[in-house]
Amino acid sequence: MEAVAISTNKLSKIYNLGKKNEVHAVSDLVLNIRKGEIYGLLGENGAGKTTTVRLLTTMIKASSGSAKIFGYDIETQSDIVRKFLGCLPQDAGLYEEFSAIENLKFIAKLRGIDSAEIPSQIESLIQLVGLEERQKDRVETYSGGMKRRLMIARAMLGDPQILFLDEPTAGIDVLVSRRVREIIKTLAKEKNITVLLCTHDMISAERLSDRVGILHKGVLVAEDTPASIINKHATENGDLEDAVVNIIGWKGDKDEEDVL
Amino acid sequence: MIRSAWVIAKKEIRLLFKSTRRILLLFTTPLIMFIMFVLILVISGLIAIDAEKPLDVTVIQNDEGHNGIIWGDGFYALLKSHNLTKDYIYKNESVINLNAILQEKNFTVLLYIPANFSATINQSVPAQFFIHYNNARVNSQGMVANILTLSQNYNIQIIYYYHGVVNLTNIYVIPERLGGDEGFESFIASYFTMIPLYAILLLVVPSLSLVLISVTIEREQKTLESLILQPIERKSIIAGKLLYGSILVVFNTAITLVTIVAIIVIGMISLPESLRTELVLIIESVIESADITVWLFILYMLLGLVLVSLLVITAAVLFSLMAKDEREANMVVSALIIIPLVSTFLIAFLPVSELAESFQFILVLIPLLGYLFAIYLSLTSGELTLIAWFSLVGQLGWTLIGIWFAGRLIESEGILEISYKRFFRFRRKK
Repeated sequence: MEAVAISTNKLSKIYNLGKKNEVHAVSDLVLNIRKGEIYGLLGENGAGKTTTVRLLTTMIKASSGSAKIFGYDIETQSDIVRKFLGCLPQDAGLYEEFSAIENLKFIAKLRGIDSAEIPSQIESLIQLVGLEERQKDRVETYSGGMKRRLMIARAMLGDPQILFLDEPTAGIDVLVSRRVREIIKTLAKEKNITVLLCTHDMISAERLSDRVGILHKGVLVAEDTPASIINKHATENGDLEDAVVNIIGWKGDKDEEDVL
Repeated sequence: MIRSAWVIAKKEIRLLFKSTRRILLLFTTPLIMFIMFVLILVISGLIAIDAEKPLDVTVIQNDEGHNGIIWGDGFYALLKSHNLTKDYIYKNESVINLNAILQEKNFTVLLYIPANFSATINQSVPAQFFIHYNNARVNSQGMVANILTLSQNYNIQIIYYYHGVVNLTNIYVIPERLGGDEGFESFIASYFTMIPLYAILLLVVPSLSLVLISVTIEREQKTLESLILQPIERKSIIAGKLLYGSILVVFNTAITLVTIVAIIVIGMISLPESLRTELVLIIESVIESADITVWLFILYMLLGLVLVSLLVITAAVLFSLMAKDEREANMVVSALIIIPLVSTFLIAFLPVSELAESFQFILVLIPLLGYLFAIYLSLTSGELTLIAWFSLVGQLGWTLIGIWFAGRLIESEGILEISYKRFFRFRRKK
């Protein structure tokens, strides 16, 4: 039996509990993600994807339920759990006045990576994300795509075993998206890293994910391989986007910006 | 935690030297001092002209003596013979003219030795003489300081003569300044209370601004989230910022001291010979006359500055952590720091030393301002009382509360979304 990297048991998060504006961001979430698996978490805006990532990365505490990362409880053993994790948050930023190397060096030191290993680790990550030529330039001179690639490199420091990627291709063009997908694939297959991918980008989800889970209003409404999801839910010749739209029951009568 | 805090502090220092704006902020104090020095050099020519005019001391010696000894005459003779004051021009006036002279204010310094001066000394109770001085002359305050120094020496002579029975320490001086009639202690106390005020403004405020930027930039550049996600205690982020702030204060103090020494050396060289000699004599006499109480007070001031610096840096970290951006943080932190500092001018009008002791204990607990009140109270009473030390404990207490609260804040779930608007729920009603 393959090792379980992430497991959740009826994990829930309620904001403003007991108040008029109470929000059930995540409800009774049950996930079992295997080691080395790329798991795509899909859903409309406000479906609970980012809250799930924040719960699993120990940034916020669950209202009820539990979750484990490689058997360690995210609430009671959060310091140990964070050592396994690399994370690219949705709204992450970089130190604009630092170069790529300086940004990575700072996080490497903060993660407690051995000083002797830092240069070689940074060099290999810079190569992986293809920033060799601009590695010494200030980040403020980088394009959006270059910054996103640097953030992936930053998330990979310290050889994490689980990578949380929240919208890794947001705001970048098609070519850079393809490059980012290649990087993620390389990481998962060559380093056997578990990846939890939250995205609106259906092409990335379909091509990268071993399995996808679809969240709707905080509830996991479907979970399977992309091919099975398409087979079961998409219309003829439809794709993953088509399937997701059918699953969450979008009728086109809502604000388009609020959906996929 | 210490290792992570040090890594964060080092990162801040590296970032500091990558921004022209932050480098300028760091060197604000030496720059201000240099500009002030240039201004002083420009006006020193005017001072030199004024200083060339000999200072005149009008003496009204009304002491009739007791048992054949006229202490007033002795004091007058001492003033005229001593190195510190022998270059002054002395004018004898009759006591009948006292009121007229005081009204006309046609003097630089007027020294009045009353009729019962010797008789009072003979009774072994504190005797008094009076000094009025015209503040319009540049170096009249220096002259008063010289006369006071000599009066202390004379006091020692009297004590020696009377085998320690006489106490002349309560010499009473009325400065003819702003037409006021305040006592010497409160006059001097007001001056000395301003020293830590300037020290805070010059040494701590630039560091405060830099710490504030370092915290708000994490939110503005969205790097706070990646910091929180690292396998470190979140409190070490606060510790790192505090460490950075403390390093800045130490660095700022060091470069300011170097600037001061450089200015003193250059200033001394450029001063006219007569003024330079006088200044050296004053400094020497001040150092020589300093006893254990003076050194203890200096220690108290330094200890207080360290604690107040920590308090200000903690406030900067805490209140900028709650801000949405640098603008919001600047508004809140500036108000929180500047209001107490500006309030120190109230010392000139507020009879703090006259208040009930229990109220004084409460007053000295006020963050930042309480420390300045405590210095004022110590100077007016002439000793470091329990209230003064209590004030330091108070400042330390506020710092610890600030650190604790900042620690709680960084560990809270809403840290990434927090802003003053949300914190105080200043929401417009729809």
